[in-house]
Amino acid sequence: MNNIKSIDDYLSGRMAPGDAFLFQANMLLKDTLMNDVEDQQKTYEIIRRYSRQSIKNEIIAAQKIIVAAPHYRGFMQRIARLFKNSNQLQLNIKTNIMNEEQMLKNQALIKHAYAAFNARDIDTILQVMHPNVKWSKAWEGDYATGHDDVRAYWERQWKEINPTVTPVGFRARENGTLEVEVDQLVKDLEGAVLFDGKVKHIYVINDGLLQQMDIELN
Amino acid sequence: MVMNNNKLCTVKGREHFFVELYTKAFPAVARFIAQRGGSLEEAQDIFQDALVIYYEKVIAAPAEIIINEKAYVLGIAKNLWLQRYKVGSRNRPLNDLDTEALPDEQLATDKILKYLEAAGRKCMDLLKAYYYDGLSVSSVATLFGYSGIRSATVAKYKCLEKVRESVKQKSLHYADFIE
Repeated sequence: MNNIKSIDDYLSGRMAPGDAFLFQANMLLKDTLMNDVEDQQKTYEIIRRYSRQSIKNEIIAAQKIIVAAPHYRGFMQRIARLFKNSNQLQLNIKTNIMNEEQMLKNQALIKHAYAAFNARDIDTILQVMHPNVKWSKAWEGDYATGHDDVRAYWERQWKEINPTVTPVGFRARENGTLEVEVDQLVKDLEGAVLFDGKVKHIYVINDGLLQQMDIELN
Repeated sequence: MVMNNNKLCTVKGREHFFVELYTKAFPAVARFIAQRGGSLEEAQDIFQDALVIYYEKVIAAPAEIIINEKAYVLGIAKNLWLQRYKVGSRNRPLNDLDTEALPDEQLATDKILKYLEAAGRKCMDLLKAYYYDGLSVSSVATLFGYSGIRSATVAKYKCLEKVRESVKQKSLHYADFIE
C-alpha cells in the first residue's frame, strides 16, 4: 500500500533510470498504482497552492506592518500622493471631456441665437436668455438687464441700424467664460456700411442660458 | 532544491525580507500603476502577487543571479498589471497564472484545501517547507522540532500520505464537491 516514497522519488526525478522504467511498467499493469500517482500529483498541486496562499498571507502581514508603523508614515504618505495625483489627473480628464461636451452645446446655443438675431426673431433669443440677463449695449453703453430691457434695446437699435453678426470662432476661457469671435457688419437703414469687422463677444452661460454678454473690441 | 538563503527559513526572516522589498520596490510599482489610472488597492494587490513570484524565483535560484531586485520586482508587477489589463478581469487568482486546471478539478481542489487547512495545518506547513520553500530535510527537522533527519523524513511521508488520502476520498465523493 505504501508507495508514497517510490511515487515521490519517481515524480521528483530522483529514481534511477532502470527503476523508473520498471515503475512505469507497473503503472501500466496496475490501475491502483496509476490512481495513486494521479492522486499524489494532485497532492503536490494542493501543497503548492497552500504554500502560495501562505506566503501571500505573510506578505499581506508585512504590508500591514508598514502601514501601521509610525516611522513609515512619510513613506506611506508619499505613496498615497501618487494616487491623489492620479485621481486628480483622471478628474481633470473627466472635466475636460465634460467641457468639450459643454462647449459643443454652447456653440450650438450661440449659433442658434445669432441666427435668430439676424432674423430679428427676439422671442427665440429670449428663450435662451436668463430672466436677469445682462447684455452689453454696444450702441448705447451700459447693460440691458432682463428680457424686457433687452427687447426694448434691440427694437430701438433696429430703428436706426441694421446689424448682421456671424460667429466665426469659439474659445473657452480659463475663467469659464466663452469667447466668441464675431464678424459684425453694420449698415444704416439706407444700406451704407457703418462697420465691417471682427469683435469679441464674451459670454457667461449657465445651465444652457445666456447670463451675460460683454463686448471686446480687437 | 537547495536552500540558498537562510534568512528565508523562518517567518520572522521572511517578514524582514518582505518589509525591505516593500520599502525598496513598492514606490516604483505604485507609480507605474498610478500613472495608468490604477488605485492604491490594485497596486497593493499586484505587488503582493509580484512578491510571491519573486520569492519563488529567489528560493529556486541562487540569490546573486538577481542583480537588481527592485527592477526585477517592478518587471514582474508590470507583467501582472498588463496581463490583468489585457484580460480585463481584475480578479484572476494568483494560482491561475501558470497552471491550467479544469474548472471542476479546481473546485474540488479548493474544497480539499479548505479541509486540509482546518485539519492539518502542521502537516501542510511541513510539506510547504520541504516542497515549496525548498528547505533540506535537516532544516525541516530543526524548524519543526524533530530529533533528526530520519524522523523528519518519516513525518514528511506520513503527511504526504495523509493529504493524498484526503485527495483520494474527496475524489471518490467527487459529486459532493460540486455545488
